[in-house]
Amino acid sequence: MDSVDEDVSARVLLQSVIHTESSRSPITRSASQAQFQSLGSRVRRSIRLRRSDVGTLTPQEALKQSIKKKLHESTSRLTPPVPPSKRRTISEGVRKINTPAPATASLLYDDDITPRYLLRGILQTEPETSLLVQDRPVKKEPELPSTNSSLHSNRPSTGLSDLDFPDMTTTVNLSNTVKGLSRKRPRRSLNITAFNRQLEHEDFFFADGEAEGGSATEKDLSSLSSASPNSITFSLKTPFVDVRTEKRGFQRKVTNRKKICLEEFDEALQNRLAAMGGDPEVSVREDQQGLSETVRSEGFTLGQSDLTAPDITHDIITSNTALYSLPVDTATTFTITTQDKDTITGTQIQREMGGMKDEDEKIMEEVGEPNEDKMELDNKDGEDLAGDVGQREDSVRQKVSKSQTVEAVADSQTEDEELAKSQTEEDGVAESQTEEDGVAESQTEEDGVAESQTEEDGVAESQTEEDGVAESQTEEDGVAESQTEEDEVAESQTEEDEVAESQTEEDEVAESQTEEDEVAESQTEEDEVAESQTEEDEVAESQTEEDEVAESQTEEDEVAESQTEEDEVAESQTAGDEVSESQTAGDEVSESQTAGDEVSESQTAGDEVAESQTAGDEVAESQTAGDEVAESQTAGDVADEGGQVVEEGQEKRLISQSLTHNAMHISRRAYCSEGGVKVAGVMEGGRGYKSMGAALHPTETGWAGRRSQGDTAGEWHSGPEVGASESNHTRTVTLGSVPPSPLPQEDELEGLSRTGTSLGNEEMENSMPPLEMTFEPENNAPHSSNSSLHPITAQSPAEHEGDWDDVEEGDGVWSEELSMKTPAFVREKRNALTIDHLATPTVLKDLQPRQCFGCAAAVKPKAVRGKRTGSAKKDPGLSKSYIMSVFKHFAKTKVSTDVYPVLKEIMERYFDRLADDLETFAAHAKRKTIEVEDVELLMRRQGFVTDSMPVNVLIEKYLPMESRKLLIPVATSGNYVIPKPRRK
Amino acid sequence: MLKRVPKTLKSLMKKKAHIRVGTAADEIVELNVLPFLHSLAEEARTKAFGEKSATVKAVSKTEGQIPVVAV
Repeated sequence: MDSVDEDVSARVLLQSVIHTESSRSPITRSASQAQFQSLGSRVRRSIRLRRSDVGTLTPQEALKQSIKKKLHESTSRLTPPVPPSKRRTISEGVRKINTPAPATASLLYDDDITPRYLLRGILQTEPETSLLVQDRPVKKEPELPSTNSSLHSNRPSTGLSDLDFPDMTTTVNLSNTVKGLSRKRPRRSLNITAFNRQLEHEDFFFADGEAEGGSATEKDLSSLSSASPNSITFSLKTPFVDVRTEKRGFQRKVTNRKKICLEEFDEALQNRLAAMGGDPEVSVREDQQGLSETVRSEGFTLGQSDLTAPDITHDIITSNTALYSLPVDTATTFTITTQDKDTITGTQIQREMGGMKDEDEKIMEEVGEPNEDKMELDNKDGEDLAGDVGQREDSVRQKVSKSQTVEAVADSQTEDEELAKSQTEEDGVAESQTEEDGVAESQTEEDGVAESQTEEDGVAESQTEEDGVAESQTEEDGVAESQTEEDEVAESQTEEDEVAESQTEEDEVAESQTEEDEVAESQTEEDEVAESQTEEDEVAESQTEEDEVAESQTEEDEVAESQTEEDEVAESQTAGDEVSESQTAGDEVSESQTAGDEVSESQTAGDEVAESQTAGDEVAESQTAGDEVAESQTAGDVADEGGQVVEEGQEKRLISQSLTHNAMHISRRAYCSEGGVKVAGVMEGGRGYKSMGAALHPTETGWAGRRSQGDTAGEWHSGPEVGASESNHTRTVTLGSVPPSPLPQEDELEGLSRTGTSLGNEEMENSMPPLEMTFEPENNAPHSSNSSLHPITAQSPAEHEGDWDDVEEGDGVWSEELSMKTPAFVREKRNALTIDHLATPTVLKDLQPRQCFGCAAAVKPKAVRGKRTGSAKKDPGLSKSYIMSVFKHFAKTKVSTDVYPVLKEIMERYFDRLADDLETFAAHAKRKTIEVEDVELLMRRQGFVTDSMPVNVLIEKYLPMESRKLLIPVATSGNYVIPKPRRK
Repeated sequence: MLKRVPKTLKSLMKKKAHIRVGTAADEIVELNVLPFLHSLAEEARTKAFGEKSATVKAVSKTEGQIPVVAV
């Protein structure tokens, strides 16, 4: 009653609160109150108090109190039934705590009734309410619901009712435990029709009683039967079953998936429930667990109940709401199932999709790969199509690089092409250029073949080089022929032009040869060629830049001027003598070398090749100069060579051959510089029958070109094999006096035909006898010898040369023009040669190794020189690596390797113009020195430097710090400016 | 990082033997070469992409030669 007194007035309450500060918290109070009072007494008291209070309180308060009383009553009613189940026992403990709370709340409410208190009570008791909820399910079991429903229906109007409703639902949930949580969700999904149906079912169930509901539920839900203990749950469950069917429709609306999912999930749930239901205790446990779980969920449920509750409360009894909640539960289960199914399906779908994706990705990847491959292929094709030659060159380059310096070959090729182009340009015969280009390409191809051979052989390098040279020469010759023909028609006339052409051809050949040689590193030959090239380069640089003719002339000038002279007379003889001496020396050297050593032979072969090249040059020269002279020269050369060879004693044959060969050689000269040269030499030698000694000079003179070549060769030889060359020269001299020299020439020719020698006489070639044998057939029938040589693929290079020579000779092209004409033969021969070359590799391989041994020693130094000289020539422009690296850097994308030739040409033209401009600017400023300001002016003219893009910005953008320091003045301490600013 | 221009550049920027190359003139010629190559590479790349190829390729010989001849 104290409480009543306290309740009477706020003051009293406050006082009591103050007195019992510790008990201020409602729970404590409730606990204390619970201790003081029994549950029943509480209710009664509350009722009493309420009643008593009602009179004093305002009508609103009275209403609130009445509501609260009802709540309390419901709570009180709920509490008693709790004990029956274990849950209840557990819940009872909770209840004890919980119940007092509502009581306190009721007391508080009774006392103040103000909304604040109500809210406080709600807030304070919320967790407890959840506990109450647990209690309530117990109530439901006894089936208070009807009464409760009525009570609840009244309650819902009030805020407190919310608590009650959720409690009811939770109680129902307790049986289904977890479902309660899910129930709320399903409610949302449920339609009004579903609710109505559920309500009807619920009504039936309520009317029928738990038994029926239980039976129905059991029938409907075997799994749910476990939960059967609670009639309500059963009834609820049954409707759920119906609901399921109904819901299916709803679900259909939602999605078809849910149906499937529902079944599956139901089964899963049923299984769980069965497991749970199989053991009621378990179910209870679950319920208990569910309680704990529900407690969490209850918060949710409360909110949800709020959503659904109002409608339900209005229309339906709390029990109905419970029912709804139950169906909702099922629905939730469905939904859950559906969700699960959805998830499953989703997962499955995802998996499938993933699989599909994977497959797709794989397919895509595969497709992409093929696409890429296609792209690559396309690119390749494009590249291939675009520049088979380039690729070949590239391949050749690569091969060369592998075996030897690729660049040298490529450069040589490119140079050759360029030279050819420049020549053609200079000549003004674009066609010839194209032809040359084509020839160059074919050359490159051949070179590639030769290179491949060389690579394969690795030893046959010299031979391959010779072959490649021969091929290139032949090609060049072919081109040269066309050119020469044109030139001839056009007048290879001007001896210079002819010479230039021939020289250019020779140069090309020589270059190609030299390059090839260098690449092939028949070093000696290369060296010689390189030397000749260097000479040519020296001349050529100025000449090439200025005129090919000039170059050729210069070369010729050195050697070859004699050629022109030769043309005029064997005059060249003098030069030719020198040259021829050198040549002869080279030949002799080669011969002597060959004779001296197999290696030397190989070297000599290389030398011969070089010589042949030189001879080819000579031949071209001689051709240009004059076949007669050339012949005489050749004869002389042959004689010389023969003289050299004379030792060998094949001179006669050689001579005859040489005579025939001379023309052939001449024609061949263009073709096979090496073999041609030698052959030419032989031919000349043959021609040189006239007088060996004299012939030597004349040949030399006549061969001034040859000589030049020979000189170059000789120089080359001399360079690498100076001593040898000298000795050769001496020998040549002696030999020259001696008729037999022709034989060596023949040897050389055969050296061309080294193949023939290579046939087995390679070593022997140097030695006269085998050569003689080979020569003899030649002498008898050069063609036959050639034919014999041809069969000997091994000899192919020399053979080809020899063949060509023979063919040329056979053609009877004595005149240079004829020789020029011979190119057709040469071409034919080329074809044969190409074939031979193909076959030759094996032989060459065998042969070359020997040669290489000898060559290696002598050749290497030569190669170095050749490279030097070659580098001088070859590096008219920037290095390939620099250009390509810079270009690739700026292109920021893949750059085909075949771009380099184009780039090189571009850069050449660029620098050509640049140099002109800079010199012009410097000259205009009356300076002889190109200064930075000249370049700056040029850049301004070029548009790289503008007002908005000053030079310094460009410098900082493009140049490294070192250059920046040199170009941008910077003031340092002491007022020093580095670098010094320009005077102005 | 770009490579430095080889020293052959000094001999490339003049034709006449009697013309000398001033201090740092070759450096700034390099500065001329780089933008030139840069613009060239840009153009080449643009054209390569225009042809839907990611690789800068040399024009086919026949195509390439014509301008050469023309020049």
